[in-house]
Amino acid sequence: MNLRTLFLNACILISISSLAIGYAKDSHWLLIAILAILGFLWLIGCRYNWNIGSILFTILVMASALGFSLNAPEIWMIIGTISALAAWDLNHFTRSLTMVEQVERIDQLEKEHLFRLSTIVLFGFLLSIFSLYISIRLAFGWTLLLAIFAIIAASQLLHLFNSLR
Amino acid sequence: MNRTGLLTSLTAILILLGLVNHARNFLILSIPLLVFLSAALLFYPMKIQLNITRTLSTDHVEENSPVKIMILVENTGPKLELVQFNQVLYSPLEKVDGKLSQLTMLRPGDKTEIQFSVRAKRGIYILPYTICTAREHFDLLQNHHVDKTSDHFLSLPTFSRFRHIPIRPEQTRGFPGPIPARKGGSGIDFFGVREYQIGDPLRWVNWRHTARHVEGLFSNEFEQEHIADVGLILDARLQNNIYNAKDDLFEHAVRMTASIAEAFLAEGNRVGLLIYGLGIERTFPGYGKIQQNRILRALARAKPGHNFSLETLNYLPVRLFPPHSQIVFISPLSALDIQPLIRLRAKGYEVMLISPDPIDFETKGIKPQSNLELATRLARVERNLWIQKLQRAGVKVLEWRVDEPITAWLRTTMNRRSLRYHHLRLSV
Repeated sequence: MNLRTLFLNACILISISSLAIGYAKDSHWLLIAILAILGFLWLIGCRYNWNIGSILFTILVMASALGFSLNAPEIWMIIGTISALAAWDLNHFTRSLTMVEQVERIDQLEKEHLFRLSTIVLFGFLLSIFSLYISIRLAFGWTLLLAIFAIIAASQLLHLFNSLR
Repeated sequence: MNRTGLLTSLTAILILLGLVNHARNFLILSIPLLVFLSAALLFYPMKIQLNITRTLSTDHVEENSPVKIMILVENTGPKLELVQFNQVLYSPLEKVDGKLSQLTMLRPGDKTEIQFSVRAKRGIYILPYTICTAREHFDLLQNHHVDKTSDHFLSLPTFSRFRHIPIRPEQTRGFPGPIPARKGGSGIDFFGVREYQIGDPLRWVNWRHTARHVEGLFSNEFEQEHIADVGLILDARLQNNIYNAKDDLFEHAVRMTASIAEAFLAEGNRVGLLIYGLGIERTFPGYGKIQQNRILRALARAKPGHNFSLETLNYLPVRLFPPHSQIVFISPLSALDIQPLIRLRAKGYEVMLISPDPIDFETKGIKPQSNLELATRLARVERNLWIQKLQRAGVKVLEWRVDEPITAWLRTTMNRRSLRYHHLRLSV
């Protein structure tokens, strides 16, 4: 097992475990069982190169959001999301390496990728933790304005990304 | 949905949920996703400056032989952290070995190479563009670069080597060769008897003839052997071509033309080629290996096609070939071809028709049916009538079943024909 696979499996396990710990606080055993099945499925999917990463990543992000609604501890939900994001990316990276017939400088590529991913994940995690301690109260008007702005920004971003792909 | 769309949508959903519910937790959850998206934008490969050189091991090969292709890529621009090269091959091209796609990292000045071999059926092939896709590590954003240099190679038809094809045109050229020239002189075959001339060797003297005539000595004359002009006409009209799922009659005709051209050129004859189908493609008469190469290249490009004005042989530009020369017409034959071929014969050309048997070819590709045998017999009767008409007009017709090996077929057929020539000559 190489470093990339080790990271990938670790990320999946961390993501599932942290979400499960969060849910365990209020004894949501059914949700924990579902998460365990999903985690197992993802691990098997990685082994057999199934293209299920995006679906499982979406489910796990939604599970984190649900965890917030169910008053699960925030820190575990954030760790769950970030680990799922890292696992999703590593899963795609692994698949893209197997899709091409020849990969040159694979060790270097892997190292650079893992370094970039670790940096971004760590930065995202720190920023999320930092924002846990910031509290801004918004009036309804501001919220509405920000919501409209968010919708426009998201559509513009999507358009930009699609044009760059 | 692609990765970018998914991530952007998830981020937007989380932000909206946070704003709508007045819950900061959703907003916090969107932060790592936003960081991820921002990193992709930050490391987006804006510029791709690659110097791509493609080298082919040869520009022509024999049918189904491999051609090695080497693509050398040099990065003359900024660093590309992930770059993927894809060489697309279209259907007749078949990869033999090597890799068609490669993923690598290129620093400024770095070089990489992709090597692969392809093979193909007869034809001219243009290698498709090489597509380079540069992306950042998270593969959210990509930048494409297409190498537009196009290289091509020819897959020449395979041919069999024949020992000798006996022909006997009225007109030959002045240089010694293997074709009987219909002129007395020094040679091998007996040609006639004439009065003894000073310088004739004594063993040429025909003593029996001399004994019967008291006025002088008579000596034997032998037939001179020269090289000849041979014009090959390949029928590439679509309406005469028959094909099934596996095979194409035209391909057999092309291989036969290549074999005949090689045989005539190897004996020193002057050979020209005319491909009559979609258009009229001429290869002007010439000698030797260079001419053989020209003919093979023309045959590699040949495709059956339809042209309304060339449906019959009425517009056959026979002036390409010298008068009274040998014309070899390679065609499955249709009813419309009979009269033009007879006219050609009447103009003094020595015409030989080599006809791949279309009935035999077609019936082998059809599942046995109740009235197939009757239909085959009717078609055979009609075809035999055409052939008889041509033979009566002095056209030599050689019918050939394409599943028969060309060399074996030619050995038996030509031996019979050469005997017939011999008999004809002796009876004159």
